[in-house]
Amino acid sequence: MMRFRWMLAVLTVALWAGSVQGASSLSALGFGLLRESAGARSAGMGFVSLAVPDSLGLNLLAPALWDGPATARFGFQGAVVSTRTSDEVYGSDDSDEAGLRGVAMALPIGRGRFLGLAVTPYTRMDYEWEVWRSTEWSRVLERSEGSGGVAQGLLALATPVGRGIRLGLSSRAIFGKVDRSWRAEFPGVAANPAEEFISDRFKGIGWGLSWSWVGAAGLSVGGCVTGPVRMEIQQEETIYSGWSEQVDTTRELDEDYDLPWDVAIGVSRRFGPHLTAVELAWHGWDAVSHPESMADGFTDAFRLSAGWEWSPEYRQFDPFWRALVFRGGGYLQEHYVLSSSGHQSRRVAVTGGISIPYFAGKSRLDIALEMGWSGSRSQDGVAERSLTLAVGVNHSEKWFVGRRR
Amino acid sequence: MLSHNTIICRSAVFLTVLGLLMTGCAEPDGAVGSSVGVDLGGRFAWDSFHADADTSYAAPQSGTGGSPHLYVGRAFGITAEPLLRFNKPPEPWPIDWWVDSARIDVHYQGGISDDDFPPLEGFVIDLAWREAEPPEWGSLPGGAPVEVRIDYAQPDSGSAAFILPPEMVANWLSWVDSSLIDTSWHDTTRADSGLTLCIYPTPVGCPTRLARLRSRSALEDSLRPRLSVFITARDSAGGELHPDTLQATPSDDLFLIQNDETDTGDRLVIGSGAVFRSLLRFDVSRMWTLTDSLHIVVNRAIMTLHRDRSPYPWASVTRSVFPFKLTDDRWLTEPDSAQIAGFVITPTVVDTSADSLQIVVTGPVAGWIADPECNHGLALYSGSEGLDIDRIAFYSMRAPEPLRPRLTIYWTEFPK
Repeated sequence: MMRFRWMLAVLTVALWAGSVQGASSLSALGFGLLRESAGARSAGMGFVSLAVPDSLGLNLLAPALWDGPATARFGFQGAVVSTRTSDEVYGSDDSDEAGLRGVAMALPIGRGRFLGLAVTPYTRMDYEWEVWRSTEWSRVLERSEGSGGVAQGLLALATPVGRGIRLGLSSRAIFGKVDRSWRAEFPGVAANPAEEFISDRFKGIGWGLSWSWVGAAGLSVGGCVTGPVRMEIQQEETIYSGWSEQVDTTRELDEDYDLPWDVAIGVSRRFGPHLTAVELAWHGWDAVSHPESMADGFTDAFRLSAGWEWSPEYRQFDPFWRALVFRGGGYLQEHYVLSSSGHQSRRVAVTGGISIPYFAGKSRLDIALEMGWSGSRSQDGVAERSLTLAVGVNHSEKWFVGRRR
Repeated sequence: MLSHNTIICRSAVFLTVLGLLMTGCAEPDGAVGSSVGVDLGGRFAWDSFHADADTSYAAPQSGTGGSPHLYVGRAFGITAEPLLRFNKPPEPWPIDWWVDSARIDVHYQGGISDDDFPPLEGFVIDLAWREAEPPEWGSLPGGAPVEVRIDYAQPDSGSAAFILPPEMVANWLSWVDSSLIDTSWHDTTRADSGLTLCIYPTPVGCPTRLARLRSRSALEDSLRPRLSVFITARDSAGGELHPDTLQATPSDDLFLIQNDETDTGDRLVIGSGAVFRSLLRFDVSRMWTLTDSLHIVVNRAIMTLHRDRSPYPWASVTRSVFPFKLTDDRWLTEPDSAQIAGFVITPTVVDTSADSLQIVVTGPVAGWIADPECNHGLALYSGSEGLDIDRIAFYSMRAPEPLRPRLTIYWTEFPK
């Protein structure tokens, strides 16, 4: 009971914390890198997850993989991202973010079935900068700020449909708010500052389908399809003269801000304590109309991931380090927005991680580290390096296991 | 020794708390990391506009109170007459007293024009007035004349004494004195409980000079006007008689102005004493066209006036100018009917060495852009109106192009 209360308290606090998704300068309008997050275990394996069975963790992309004993599952992960970006115009700057990368909960509702809820950040924006300019009559200090993002909520059902085959059905809600402001001040001169404040509220609903098959000889195959989401965006624009509100308009944007089709497939094979997996994902951004304010367009983006995991066999009283699980991997991902030069940049990353099981294997702490490189100054005009530390906690409770009479 | 479970639990809690704390230590993206702003932000622009209507007028003469000076004399079409009002000298008063003599002393220093100090006449009048409600020119009643002695300490400074009849002063003091045994005596014909001295320049043979007297606002106490009443008094019944002096400074003082030269020609004139005000309106219709497709934020608006130094060489230059919004267009046909609405501004200080004056009028201009119906123009007042005699003249819209009044607007525009 104490453990449950502890987990519930941490989960409650965690839900109030901001979520994190490393914003990328290679995206326009602060949409971010749109990196799927399947869990900290996946983060240590090059983001392969669709064909990696997990009897404890809750895969945030493929609910079909929610399997194992009929225990209630809780999971959440956080991450710290440190990014250095440099371009041809402004030089370079560093940013750091920390926060949640997803929370999930699933309850067993029958033999091998789970019903669950998950929330993950989809994009995130957090920027603040100022620059001095000169006009014909004064120097101007321009301040730009932006914060917010879009999150994704999943309501999913995982169920077995055949020998070794599982299916996951999910409804997907997209919601969020992004606030951006631009302010011009004229220090040293008696002049009114001008400020534009734009608040965009997003909402949309879609669906997802995932499946997995665990066969003989340690072979597993899995995949997922995510349907497009028609986004409704309500934009409020406020313009201030000095501290007085001069304009306040709210309108529904009729531009096509859809989220596209996503299709992914993965294969894994276990060789004793070693597990290897590869995965291919496709995001159909080319079919999505980009906003008029974007000079560049969307384009289809692929991701190729490969991962490895080593799981030792250990006994209850073995030393601590004998229970650790080690992971490694990497991925190559194309960016979904073309650079100003028309080039589609790529992101390359290497990952590593460990897992620490506890409570006799009913819970698990995952830690993952990723080093990534995106874009190039020569081809894209901007380059980015990032270091990400992700931590995930997966916990299960025996709430629904009946007592034998 | 701690179990694996305990280590893990504590580590998980530690890492979670650490992560939450680090959320507060986040360093946001900068200009490079965000690469945003492509669809946000305004564009800076500016434009100049000329006046499409302007005029000047002489405001109806008004008394000026609160001034550090009181002008007296006649010059350049201006006649000035000061008024000083005294209350009864403060208590304690002796139980018995008799007025031996009384006088009002004023000090003067400088003035307008280099002519001689004007000979003066003084009258004690019975008039209910205050600085906040000055009497109109020509409404002063007749009064009792008083002797005037003018002492020249230096050619351009000195003092003048107005010798008051003792009986008149005694009657006045008795009327307001509540310490007399016989309190039944009461003069119901007096209009005011104070004693008012009105000073006139002599009607005939007056030099062309407006002398500057020190008012009750003078910095040095010894230079302020002063009423001195010399009495013989007894402090108690049966006590010894002794001389005493009671003194008071004015409770109110001002100078009335009559201006006989009100024509400003083709200039925009601003002045105080004999008040001149200027009115002008700018054609900003080009801005209204922009508002069809743009949101306009007026950052700064500057009105530039070019000085015409030729007129009024005798006058002090106006040191500051107040702009006010005009509330309607009646001034176009009847300038002296102009109605103003105040807006929160500080006066614009005039640099007397500069050839132009720039006045910040951002507030009114922003209102005109937002609502074209509000563009009735601006009124310019002297900042020392009611306090001094000064002038400043500017070229009007009828002057050659570079010298015309100009309004420059700097703004930020956002696409709609």
